[in-house]
Amino acid sequence: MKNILETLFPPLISSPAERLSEKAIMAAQRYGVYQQVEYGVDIIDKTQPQKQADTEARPTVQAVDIAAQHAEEHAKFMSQVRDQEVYLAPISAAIREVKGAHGESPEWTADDERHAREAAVQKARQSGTPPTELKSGQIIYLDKDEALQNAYKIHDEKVQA
Amino acid sequence: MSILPKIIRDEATRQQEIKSELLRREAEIGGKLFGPVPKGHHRQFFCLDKHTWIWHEEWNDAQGIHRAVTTRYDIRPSGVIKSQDGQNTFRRLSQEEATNLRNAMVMYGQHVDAYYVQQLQAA
Repeated sequence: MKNILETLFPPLISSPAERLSEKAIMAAQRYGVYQQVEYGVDIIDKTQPQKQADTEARPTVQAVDIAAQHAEEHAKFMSQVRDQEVYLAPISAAIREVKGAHGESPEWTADDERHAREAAVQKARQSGTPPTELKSGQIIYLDKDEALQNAYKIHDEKVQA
Repeated sequence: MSILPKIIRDEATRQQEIKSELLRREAEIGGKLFGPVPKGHHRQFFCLDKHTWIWHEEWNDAQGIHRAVTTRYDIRPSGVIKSQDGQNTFRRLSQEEATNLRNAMVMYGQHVDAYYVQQLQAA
């Protein structure tokens, strides 16, 4: 039976049994983390098998540093999303990518441009925001259709001007 | 006396408290894996359960507005699905993101394990 002081002042006094219980929980937690990490790594390896070799060779710190910037850069972008220049940048970048994918060509017509812009808008809708994409100016994600339409309009006006 | 039931600690509650505290500690350890945290930022990265990893970051921007982003990674048999708060988007990780997450998971496991070993060895 517990001492009344233990009951009344638990943070101050912990019994040997209680300390053992805490250690048992820690040990269980430790084992749980081990299993959870193993499971996650296994799923990634199974579903992204071709990347496994790279994973071994890639400098770990550099890779996780890139991931570390994700949240901040994404939020920064979202906070600026009302800025028209920000609208314009991802669409232009998307068009560059579409042009690049088809190869720069002197026969690039206004129709191609329109087609590319439509494709860019579609790709931008589907795309996510990995930090490296954001930094290198490739397609980035816009989560508001209205913003995307606005960007499209601004781009049209700029092309016509 | 009606106050007694309130002050008698329930063992299950106590265990839950310990688990929660350990998870908070893991989240702090995870938040430090990615290099120095910028001043004023609060970053947590942790494994909620076998199927869920969380990245949470809070800070005040240049205008003093509080910002917070929570990124959730769902580990499914078919792959990892990523979602962020405020967006109804769920998408698969790119190759690079998957590599980064894998590295982060391994580092997390190593650091958290070292923490537990240290705690368990402590008198």
